[in-house]
Amino acid sequence: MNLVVSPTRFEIKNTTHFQGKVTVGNFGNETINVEVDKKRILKDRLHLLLVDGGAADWIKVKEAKFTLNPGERKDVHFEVVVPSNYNYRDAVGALVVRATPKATPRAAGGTQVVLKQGTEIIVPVVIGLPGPIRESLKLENFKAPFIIISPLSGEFKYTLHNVGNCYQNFTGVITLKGWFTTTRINSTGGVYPGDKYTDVIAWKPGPWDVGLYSANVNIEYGKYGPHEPLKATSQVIVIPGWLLILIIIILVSRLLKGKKMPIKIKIEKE
Amino acid sequence: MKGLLPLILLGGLMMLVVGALYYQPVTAQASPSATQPLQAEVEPTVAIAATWAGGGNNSTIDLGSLPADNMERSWPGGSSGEEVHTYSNVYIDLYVRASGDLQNGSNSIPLDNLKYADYDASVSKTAFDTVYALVKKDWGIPSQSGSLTVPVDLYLTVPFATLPGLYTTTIYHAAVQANATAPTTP
Repeated sequence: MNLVVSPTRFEIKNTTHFQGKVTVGNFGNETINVEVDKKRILKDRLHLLLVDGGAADWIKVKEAKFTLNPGERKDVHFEVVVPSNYNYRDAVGALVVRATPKATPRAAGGTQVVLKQGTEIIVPVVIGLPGPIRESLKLENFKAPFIIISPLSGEFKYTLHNVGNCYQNFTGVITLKGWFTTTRINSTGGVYPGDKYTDVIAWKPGPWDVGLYSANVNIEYGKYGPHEPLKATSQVIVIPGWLLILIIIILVSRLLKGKKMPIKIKIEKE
Repeated sequence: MKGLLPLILLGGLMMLVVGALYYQPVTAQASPSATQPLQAEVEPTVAIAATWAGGGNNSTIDLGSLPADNMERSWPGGSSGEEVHTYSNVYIDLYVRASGDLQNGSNSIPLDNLKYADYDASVSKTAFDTVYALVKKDWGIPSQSGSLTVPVDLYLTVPFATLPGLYTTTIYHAAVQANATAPTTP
């Protein structure tokens, strides 16, 4: 999988409209599929993140998909229109030139593993500085049911709002700590930037779960740096169904025992 | 014959006069040379290649038929395994990622089970991810017409009870010119 791209970066200065071309070549011995994608670059000291939106929206690629035979090259023309009110500190786009083999792997029986491999060359389109990677999740609410009557289950809900600029995976743990037992419920998910994600977790108490429980949610996230976990607390009362039935039986029996039956005496005159 | 002599002399004299009139001295004169300046600007170029088993099988990495025994297998990088090459005329940063889990229809092997290591940079064994991970920073420029090569060790665990079939994913090696994202002047 051989791929050559030139030039390796574009720097746009003092203009809001730029037209350019990048030359893509295949110097290998197999036919490749080429795709030219447009992205926005976010960066910190260690990581390079390619995301959509922002500078990616300013770039238009004329022909984004094509095939290159061995030894073939092609000029890819593109256009950049920079908005007048852009943020200089988040103004680096990229052309991502991606090559994958045209051939499709075939099975030969058994559990066979074949990895296709692709090569990518990232051509930055520099207008300002690359945007910082901002990982930020907010826990907007955490709702626990007021009462759960077993064996029915209760639903716990929490809503996460991604106010950062990159996709976030998270791991949530709800710890239910009662008088006699402690239960942990795990969940995982992901939120795109700007989106809200509501996770609904059902919990069915066991036969010996009873009483007042504190429900603590702890959500961990952050791929590119450490972040304080998000935390919230609520309370839930668990009443076992069998206890309710027992109480009802006792009440009914007491009621029946306490009720005085009238004695009917029939006096017959002779 | 005597009567013809004056005519012959006159003819010879005329030939001398005409010859003198048309006489051009032959001299070796250097003509101005036709020099054309030829220039070609060599642009910064990133060229990379990823090969498996020396490129004999194009770029497909065929790990073969494997038992679903939940045991990790390894394929050391090098000429008989996976290698990445640079032919670039600029320093590059090299990243790696994968497209997702190894898929066979609705069955899959988690991407966490596929790992990489080394890159001639003591990269520790790391599970592939779908986002870019930096594996070699400021990779240098090879000598003219040459290339630089790094080995890539691969590891895979096929979990118990993985259904038979062909499992595939795509791994990407991505290159970007080093320090290419900042403007040259603030």
